[in-house]
Amino acid sequence: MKRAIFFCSLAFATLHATAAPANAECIAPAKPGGGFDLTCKLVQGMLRLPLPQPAAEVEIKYLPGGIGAVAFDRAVRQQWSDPRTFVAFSTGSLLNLAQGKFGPHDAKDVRWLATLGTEYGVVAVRKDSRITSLAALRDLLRGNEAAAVFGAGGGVGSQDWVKVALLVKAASGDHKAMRFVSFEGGGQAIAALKGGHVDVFCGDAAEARDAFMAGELKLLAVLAPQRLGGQFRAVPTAREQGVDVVWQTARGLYMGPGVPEKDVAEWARTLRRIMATPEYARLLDTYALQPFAQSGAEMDAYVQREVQQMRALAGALHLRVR
Amino acid sequence: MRSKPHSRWRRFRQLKLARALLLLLLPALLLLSLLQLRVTANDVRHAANTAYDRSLLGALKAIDANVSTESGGLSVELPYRMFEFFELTASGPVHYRVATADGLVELGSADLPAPPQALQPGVPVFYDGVYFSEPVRLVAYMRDLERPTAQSPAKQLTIQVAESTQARDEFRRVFLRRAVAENALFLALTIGLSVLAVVLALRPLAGLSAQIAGRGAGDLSAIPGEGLPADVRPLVEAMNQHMRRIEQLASQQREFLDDASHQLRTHLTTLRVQVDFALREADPAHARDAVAALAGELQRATRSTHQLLSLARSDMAALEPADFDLCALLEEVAREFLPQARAKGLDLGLEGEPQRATADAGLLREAVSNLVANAIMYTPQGSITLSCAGDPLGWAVSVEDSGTGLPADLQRTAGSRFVRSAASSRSGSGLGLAIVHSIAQRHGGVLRLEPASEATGLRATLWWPRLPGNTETAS
Repeated sequence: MKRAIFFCSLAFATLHATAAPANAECIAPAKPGGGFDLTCKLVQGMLRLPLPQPAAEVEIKYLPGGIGAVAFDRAVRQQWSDPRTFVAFSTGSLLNLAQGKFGPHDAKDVRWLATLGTEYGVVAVRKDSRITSLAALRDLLRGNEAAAVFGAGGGVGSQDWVKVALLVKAASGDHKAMRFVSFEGGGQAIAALKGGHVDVFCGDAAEARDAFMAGELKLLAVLAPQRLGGQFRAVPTAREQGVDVVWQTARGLYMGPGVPEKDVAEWARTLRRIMATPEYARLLDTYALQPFAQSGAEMDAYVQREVQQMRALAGALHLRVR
Repeated sequence: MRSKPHSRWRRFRQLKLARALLLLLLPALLLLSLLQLRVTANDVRHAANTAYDRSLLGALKAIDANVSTESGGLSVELPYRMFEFFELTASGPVHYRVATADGLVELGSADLPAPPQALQPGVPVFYDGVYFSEPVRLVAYMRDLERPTAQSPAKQLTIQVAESTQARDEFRRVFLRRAVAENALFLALTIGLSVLAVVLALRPLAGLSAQIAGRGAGDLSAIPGEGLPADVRPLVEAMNQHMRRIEQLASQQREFLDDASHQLRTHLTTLRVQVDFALREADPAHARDAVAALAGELQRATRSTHQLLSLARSDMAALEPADFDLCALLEEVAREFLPQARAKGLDLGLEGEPQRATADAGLLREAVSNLVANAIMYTPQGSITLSCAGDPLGWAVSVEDSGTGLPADLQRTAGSRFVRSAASSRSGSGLGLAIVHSIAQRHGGVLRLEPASEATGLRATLWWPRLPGNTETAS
């Protein structure tokens, strides 16, 4: 695996050898291809926007392990202080932090830089499924929690698992009795859904987009406060269907605990300036992300609030809480 | 002083013994106890691991049963209750990793510590590791896949499950804490009982000690052995025997002192009378006779003193047995007494072959000298013959004379101290035979007095045995 990382970073290094020298790096705490990779690519793209000139050239590095846990643990223990190193995180990271899956650490142990955008959860079924709406799914689960088999990319306690658990609870069922099948990622879960091995897919909009566009599956709902734009315009929210479940997957960056306050503030200013431009909005759209820009003091407050909520949620779902 | 704090002194003595025993016992018991704890700790560790590993393997099998590659990808159904149960058993987080053998497809915690050795299909491997700086116990298991996944060519599946060591550590801690408490209790009980046993066992001894310590200086009576433990009785018996010997010696010495003072007083009284007489005598010729008589008495007193000393020596001196020629010794004595015998016109002769013998040569010479001196004294005319003999049982020295023989009234008492033949001249001190008798006794032998082979005369035979124990059999 190490060799693979090395190979990837080497590939990026050679790819951008002719461009401006890399003067920042983004650590995706996972294998290439996931949501963290996407976040890093996003920051790489936005810092390249000529507004008025490119802010920095970003190199992406991969540090897989524990869905972000290894990177977080290392950043805290080694007191990372490089003012040009970002680490990608998502709402899932905050959920893990709240469950103690990041080791004996707290949200205050690193410097939270900004959120760049957000995704919302989706609920999908096969296009010929007997479940035709979220209400039908709710009614099905109300009688028997094990009536539908859910497939997703994470394990027990992951964001996808929590989404399913919230759906089951919304159907006044017992989430402990539901059937949940874990796959290596959203892509494989969708493949299993298409093959009829699971009944319902719970994940993020971006994961389901390709199959949805190809007409291979049907989206029952988006777990957003209001309907999403673009291709998802026609998909109703869960709330519209009387199921009050919203799941936002914010994507952002944090920095090492040893990074000076002024460097964090400087980066926050730069990012905020870029996120206010229409060019950035277009960039977000290519990644199927919704705008969700937080930085500075409001960023810290957001993370604290979010971890608090995650902790309460995990407790309510009988997960381990730190 | 000694009798007042009697019981306190005794208790102190008991405690001293108990303390000495404890000093030996305590470190040994402590060491034994620690050793036992160590063994227990090892056993508990093994037992806890065996028990908890079984439930860990159960968790692995449960996950394995939920693994599927039906959809083409790798999937695990994760019932919440299963994990709830796992975590309840382990009292801490349970992590798992399900992956193809080449690691290209993996679910769960990707960075769980790898097993220490290559896995064999179907054989679970248990090992310890650290996950997120927490100690964990892991089990790894590999099995064949019915159908490979679309993302990896690997034909084998690896499953790892890790659980916090919290539960087993807690189990061990509780068990060990109890074992420590129990060991401490048993140690305390053992020591307490040991002290009690020591004190109880030593109580008769302490009583004995007190009894002996409380005796008067001159009290040599036997110590009563009744009520004492059988182990102590031989000691008491030996002590009693020793005291009997001391008593015997003391009475002998008292007797000797009585006799000696009596004897010397007699001589001194006689001398004083003679001196008074000589002083009052006006006639020089008579005075001279008186002084001559005085000289004779002085000579007798000197001889008495000399003999008293040799008696004391024969009684008290340590026996120094040595190997020597008995005949040569007799010859020496005979040569010594030859002038005296000649002066009296006696024939002093020696019979016997050279004979090796074992005895205290000095004492034996003293004995023979006394016998010869007696013979010369009590033989008016005729001969005196010295002879020696030896056989496997012992040796004998005889002095035979042709004198007056031993009067019938002295047959029994001869050999007692200061008994003199009534017919004898006044020159005898009465100690000669007593000395010989004593020397014979010291050698474990006897002095026999019997009529000589001729019509008159006496044959005195000193016989002592060859036994190695002939030394110091009596004192």
